Amino acid sequence: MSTLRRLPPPPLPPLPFLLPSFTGARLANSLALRAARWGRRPTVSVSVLFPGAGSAADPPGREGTAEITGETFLGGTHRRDARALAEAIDDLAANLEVSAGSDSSVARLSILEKDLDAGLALLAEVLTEPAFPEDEFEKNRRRQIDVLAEQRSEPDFLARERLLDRLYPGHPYGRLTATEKGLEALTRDSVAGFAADRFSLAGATLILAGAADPDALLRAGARAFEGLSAGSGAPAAAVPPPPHVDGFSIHLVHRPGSVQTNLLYARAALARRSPRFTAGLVANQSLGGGASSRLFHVLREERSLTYGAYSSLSARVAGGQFGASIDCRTEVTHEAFTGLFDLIRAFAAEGPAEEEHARARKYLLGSFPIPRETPGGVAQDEITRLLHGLPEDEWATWRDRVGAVSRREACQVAADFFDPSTGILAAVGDAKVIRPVLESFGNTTLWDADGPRA
Amino acid sequence: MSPQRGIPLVTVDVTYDVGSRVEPPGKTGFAHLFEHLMFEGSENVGKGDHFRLVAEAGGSMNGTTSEDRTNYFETLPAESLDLALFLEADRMRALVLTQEKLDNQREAVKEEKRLRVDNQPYASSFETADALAYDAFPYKHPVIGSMDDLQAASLDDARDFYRRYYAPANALLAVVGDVDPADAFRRVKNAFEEVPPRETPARFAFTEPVPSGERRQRVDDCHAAMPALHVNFKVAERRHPDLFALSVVERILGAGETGRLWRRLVKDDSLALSLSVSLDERRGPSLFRIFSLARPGVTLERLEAEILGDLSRFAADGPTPREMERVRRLLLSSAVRATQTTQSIAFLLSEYGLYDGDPGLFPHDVEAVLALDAAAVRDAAARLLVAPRRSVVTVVPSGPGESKGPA
Repeated sequence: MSTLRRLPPPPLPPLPFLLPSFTGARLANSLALRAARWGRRPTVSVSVLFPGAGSAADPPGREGTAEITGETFLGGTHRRDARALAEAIDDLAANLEVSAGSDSSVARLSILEKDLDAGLALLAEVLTEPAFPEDEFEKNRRRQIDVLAEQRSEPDFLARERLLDRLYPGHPYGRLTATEKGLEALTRDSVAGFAADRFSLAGATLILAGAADPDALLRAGARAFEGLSAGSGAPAAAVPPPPHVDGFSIHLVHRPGSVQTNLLYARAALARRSPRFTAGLVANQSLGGGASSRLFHVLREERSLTYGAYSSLSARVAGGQFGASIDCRTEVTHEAFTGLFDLIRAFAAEGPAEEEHARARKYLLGSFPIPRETPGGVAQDEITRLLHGLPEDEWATWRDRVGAVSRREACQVAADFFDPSTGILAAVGDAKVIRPVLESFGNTTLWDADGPRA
Repeated sequence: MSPQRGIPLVTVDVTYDVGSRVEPPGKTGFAHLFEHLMFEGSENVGKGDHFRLVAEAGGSMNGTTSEDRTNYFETLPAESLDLALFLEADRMRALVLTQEKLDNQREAVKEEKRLRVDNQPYASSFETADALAYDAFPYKHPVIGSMDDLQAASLDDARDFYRRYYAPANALLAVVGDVDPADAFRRVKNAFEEVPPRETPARFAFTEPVPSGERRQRVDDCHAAMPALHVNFKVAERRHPDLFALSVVERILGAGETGRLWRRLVKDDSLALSLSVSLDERRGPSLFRIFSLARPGVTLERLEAEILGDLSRFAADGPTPREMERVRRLLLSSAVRATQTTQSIAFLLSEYGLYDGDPGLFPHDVEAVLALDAAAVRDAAARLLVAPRRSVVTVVPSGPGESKGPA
């Protein structure tokens, strides 16, 4: 092999990347419309955002209401039963779903542009004329109970469920998904009632993004939804602030036969509307945002402890969290725990090195177009903006704000929100082996897959 | 090369004609382990620098290994095309392999196997299903390999593998995105012209015996909560006319809201918690796969009988005209969606280019499927989804048998 000394080539001058601007309208029934021209192919991404229709609004004792309501929208309308509705969706080669998040539910339709009118008419029928047939509701409810049983065999699910339960005790954000108890208490009428209250067109926004004239998209949206009753729903109560969790505690879910330990840590952090959220994203990128970040580099590439170790900064409407995770073979749980928390602690104390900080900003700036390559990507931006009440120019100015984050700001946000002396660690693994290991690090509560250890 | 204007991104993909199928017994998992080593540095790229340089350019990158090929790709701002070409050319020309890197990535891959297979419900049963369906070793063993073989992999193995399979003429480069083709070709030439030609391996071929009878196996899965069932049929290689017809069968039975098997067993009759139908298309013998979790109280015998009954009815009656029309629309819609991003286009070009010598075959294949009539689809189901081609794996939750109590 001959030797050739080469330096990595520098980039050419950057090419401009201009996001589309959304144009808006509002129908007489108060439904807001937003549309943008985007994408290279003749597809349209359609979303209807229903703020306040998420799982955080589940009536107490009926946890799972939003989830089952979303699924049961596809159980049929006053015009067609479940099978006829399924056939109508597939006749258009469309994807149509209604899914619940924590703070909202979103109906999504993905369709070819040529079928947009027919797809929107079907979407409007599903959302405004749902029949919620008793048998379809009951089938969805029973299936979800069985799905929960299956999910409790998955280590990732167990870790996330326990983490949220302990990080948000007694709070709606403390549930990863429906609960068996809540599902048992659900009735068809409670689901229909939730839909009537929370899926009103007043307060909802129809978002259309596709390779078409935005005014034509707005007109198509108006044709499908104007004249429809907004419904009678009242605005949802705001989600209360999450409770304050003192100190640091460990919650171990015993999963017999596990060959790995899954460690999932989180603590309260920044709300999405916080002016410091952007600095938080830059700091998080340095610590654990990807394969060039500190956690991955040290714990996988240098110490061979894991397939991957990452951190994250995320936010729901009423509050946000910082988190980190590592999965490791059972035998090195002690080293993985120490390695992960030593790195987070050091980062909280000292922040990113200058080089790490520069790289994090470059990555976030340069990679901005990648998830926005498709109409669905820019539609998701608009959903996030509306849900969190962010300004109209949130995404247009996002890169300027990232570019302006100083290392000092990144250090300060890490010190304020990444310090792991507070928070929850959920661990999943074989307690026979790892319980003593975890107990050496702090107060450890033992759980079974389905709840508190007897 | 495919210019895609409008969004200033470019995807560079290098796909090598080597996958786990070339691994002999005792060397399983090596193609994938080697994929990891390709990110560990080359003559002008230090350890960790590949990740660092791509991140600083604002790019994403990865590699994947299948039975049939290994690919490496970067999607990044179009102004950084030269960087992606430099990284790919440097590791094609002068990868730097050391014992320390091998030991490090061996552990990463072992953790990946634990994470994706050993610690997950049902995952190991997919390995069993392949081992049962195939007779010849290339497709009989899993891409991730065995722990023993991963442990035994040596630096000499890595050097030999690189020399044998990572020659320029054994690879295909795709560049897709906001580029001027003439300019991009010039940049490709600049980056790769210093990669010396090397001997390429002989075209890989193997023979799989003709299917001769149903096979069955049971897997006890300590992580599984529900009993599960694999029903697989060994069929022809990708792009065989039978596979075009089976791709229609796959969609009619499993796709969308109306897929026959899914709709009846999961939604209408509540016999299955989940059910997927997929056509695992390979360069050699492929698999028509059905995988389903049973609902509590539904035996695997019942679930299997229901699935086979529906297959028999389909083989006898064929698709309805409405199903054929629906599947044609779905096919066209899927084809549009499959070409929405620079990365998905790059993958299509690479696969057809490497396997078939013509990167532009995707539309041709879409047309070939659109041209099928109901009789051809019914005929394929009747000839191919039959007992002699069938392998059935039942997955039985074995649990650890622990009672609750202090751990």
